[in-house]
Amino acid sequence: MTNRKEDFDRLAFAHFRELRRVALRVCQDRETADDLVQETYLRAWRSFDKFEPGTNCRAWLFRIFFYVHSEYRRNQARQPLLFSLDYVKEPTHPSPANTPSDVTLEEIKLAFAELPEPFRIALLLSEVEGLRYREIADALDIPIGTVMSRLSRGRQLLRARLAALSSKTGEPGSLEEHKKSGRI
Amino acid sequence: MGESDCQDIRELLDPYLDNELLVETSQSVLDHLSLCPDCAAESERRIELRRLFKTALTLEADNDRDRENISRRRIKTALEEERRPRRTAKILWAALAASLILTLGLTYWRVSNTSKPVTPAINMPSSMPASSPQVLIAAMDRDAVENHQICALSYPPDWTFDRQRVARGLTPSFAPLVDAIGLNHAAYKLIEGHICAYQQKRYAHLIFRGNGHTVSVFIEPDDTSGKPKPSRPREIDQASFTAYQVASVDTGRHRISVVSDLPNSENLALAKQILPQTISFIRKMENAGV
Repeated sequence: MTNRKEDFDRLAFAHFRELRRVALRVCQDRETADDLVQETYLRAWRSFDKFEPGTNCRAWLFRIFFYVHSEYRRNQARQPLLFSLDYVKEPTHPSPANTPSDVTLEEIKLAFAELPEPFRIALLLSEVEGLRYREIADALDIPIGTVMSRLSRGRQLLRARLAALSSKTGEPGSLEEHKKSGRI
Repeated sequence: MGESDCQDIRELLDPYLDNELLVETSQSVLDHLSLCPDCAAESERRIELRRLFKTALTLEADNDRDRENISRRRIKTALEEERRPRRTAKILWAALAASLILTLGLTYWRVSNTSKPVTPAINMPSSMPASSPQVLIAAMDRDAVENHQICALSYPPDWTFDRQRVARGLTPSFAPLVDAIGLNHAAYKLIEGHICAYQQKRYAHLIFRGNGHTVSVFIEPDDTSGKPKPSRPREIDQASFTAYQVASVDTGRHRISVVSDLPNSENLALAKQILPQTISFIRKMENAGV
């Protein structure tokens, strides 16, 4: 029991910060994020016997978290976590040939917040948390091809949105007017 | 270099930067980048956007270390609770078997002697149905004590009040409660306020400290609403669980509890100071339909 407890604490809490960071972004409400992370750890502990030492603990924890999150969403009677990509609207601005280079952190946050949830989650796991495609597929319980298409579409939409925001800069009421920090 | 070449390469650029391409494909992207300044510049822009993206999305979470530590402690406490029954599983089974034998024995004794009813348990009136208001209220008091142990007692001794942090933690509807109640009551100073969850209920939780004691004020939606209310006068109820005292009132749709390990009379005196302003605040909320 002691070894099991120590193993769990060592393996699972090594990923606490990453898990909570993703939870904060996915839930967009700190209390809910903390509740869901706690539930994730409790469930992970209960099923720790099924975890194979040497396999990817991070992907395993993310998988439990997204299951808990999806369950929470169902209970809240909101839209399900995963939905067909057919519902995703085409961007109003076409994907730019070149990635915009003149963007601020605020614009990135704004553009990211407007992405459909499946794309946001895939981008978070890949670019912020550095998960491999295989790990993301395991965490979200989806085929690796779906991961690749979500990342590709997510990046296209992000670039298109950033280009649109950039083109608005300088107009009255645009982000440019409110920027205090200047361009990066 | 053809335009279609560049288009093909740009489609591969992100998987290339993710290091997810086969070695041969990766090499062909690398070769193209070394010959095509436009695609090389695009690659640099994407690398820079990734760096900014990561900064933008980690900045707030990385500045939230205080709450992160609290969250980590709460999870560890919850895990300890979760582990406890498993560790004592054998003892529990033995206790279950013993209580079954005892129950059978008592039943036999009562039937055979038709004697007076057995004295009810200390706080949970066992002679009442599990859904009776008294039993539900006792369960609410017990939950408040457990939440006090798990949440309030996990704050470090040097934790101090921060108005902005507390306002964020309490959500807009409960944030004015801080000024309604006041920051100081006798030797007790407000150190924390937030909304916390326990046993699938959400509490507005204020934490006071003083004289080496921690005091929690909980406000929760009343679980007994919709069920018959106990015929209690509108005064402070008191209950004890292990070393903790609970003084609570029912506003109609909410229950407000003051929990501490102070002696009963001191906990009650403190509750009498804190509760009037709290009740007034909650009633205003209730009248406003919040």
